[in-house]
Amino acid sequence: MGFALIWHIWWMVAAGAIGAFATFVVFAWRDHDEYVIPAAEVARIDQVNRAERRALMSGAV
Amino acid sequence: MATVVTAHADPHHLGGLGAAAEHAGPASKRIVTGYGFWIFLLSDIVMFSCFFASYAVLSGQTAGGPKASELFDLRSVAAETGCLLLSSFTCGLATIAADVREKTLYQLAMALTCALGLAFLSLEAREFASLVARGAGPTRSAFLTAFFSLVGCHGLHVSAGALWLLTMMAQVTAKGFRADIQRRIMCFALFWHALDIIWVALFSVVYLLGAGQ
Amino acid sequence: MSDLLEHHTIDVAPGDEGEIQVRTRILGYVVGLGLAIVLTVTSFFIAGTDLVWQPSIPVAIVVLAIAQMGVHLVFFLHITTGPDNTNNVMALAFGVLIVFLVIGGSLWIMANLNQNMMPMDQIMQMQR
Repeated sequence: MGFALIWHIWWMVAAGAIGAFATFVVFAWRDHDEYVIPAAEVARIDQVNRAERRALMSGAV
Repeated sequence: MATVVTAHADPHHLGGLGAAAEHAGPASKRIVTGYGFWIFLLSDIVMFSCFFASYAVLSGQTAGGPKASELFDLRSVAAETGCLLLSSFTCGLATIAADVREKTLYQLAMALTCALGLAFLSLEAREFASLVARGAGPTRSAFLTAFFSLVGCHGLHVSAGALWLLTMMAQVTAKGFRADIQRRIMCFALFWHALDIIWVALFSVVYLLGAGQ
Repeated sequence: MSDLLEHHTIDVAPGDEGEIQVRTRILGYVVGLGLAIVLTVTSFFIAGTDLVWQPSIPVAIVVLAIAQMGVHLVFFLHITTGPDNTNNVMALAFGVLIVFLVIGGSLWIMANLNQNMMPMDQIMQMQR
């Protein structure tokens, strides 16, 4: 929309504005907008990551 | 005095609010959302201050064209001010209604706020149209460019706010007073009140001081 | 659910108030509206009247505007000086500082330039 405003492309301005507002409404109407990752799961992923990196480092040396 | 819960909670032993030791973890979503939006609003006010600064610097540059005192109709400005002030009041009533979950009162207060906001916008649009018709459009002089930019920017904010207002009315109709919708209502109220605060500065500096030049 | 009713939080979101009684809250808004109307009417009156010393008019209007912004902040936005509002006040103070720097700095610099430089049309003529 900014590009269209600079170059006076009025139909694009309108399209951009409507699109922006439509996106706003779609996001506002979501019922599930977040999910929880339990701490245990985060710890598990981190342990796997560290183990693989340790293996890589010791393997390379 | 509550003892420090962990070593990290008070490394410099400042003491402070005793409740801080008991209230471990991040703040509630309502506080975080509200504070974040407050910071955004302050940045928006800084942007407005840039427009204000331009206006202040250029208010004398009329390029031989009409001056502020020749152009401004203070009765229209008074009406606009009244509309916006009352709309801030009705917005406050709407937030109270939302807190006690009174759907009808909330929708009524928001509808009033919208009507007053649209009244403000139509008065301002009429004023702009009449200025352009008198040859005092934004291209006439630096003073007028700065005027149209500043007042126009505020008007654009009010227009966007009106769209947001209608969206919030629709949201409550569709989904009721859910926690995240309550947070959005709080943010909208902050936005609408901030717009009225900016209008106070605007009508004082631009219209009242300008008319007296 | 309704963290608005949490009395034990150490912070309050801007725009939230500790008061829960609906009657008291509405009264707060009514008082704010009344004060704002008084300040607005006074502002408009002073701008158009001959009853006061003319050079004082700009100062009076600015002071009334600042007062009305304060009324808005306290009565509509519930920005108070209580310990639960400290974060909000500090953010506001920083914003106000930046606003003063931007506006005051711009005015100061431009005034300096206007005083110390040749008028623009003369400069441009020299460039022809």
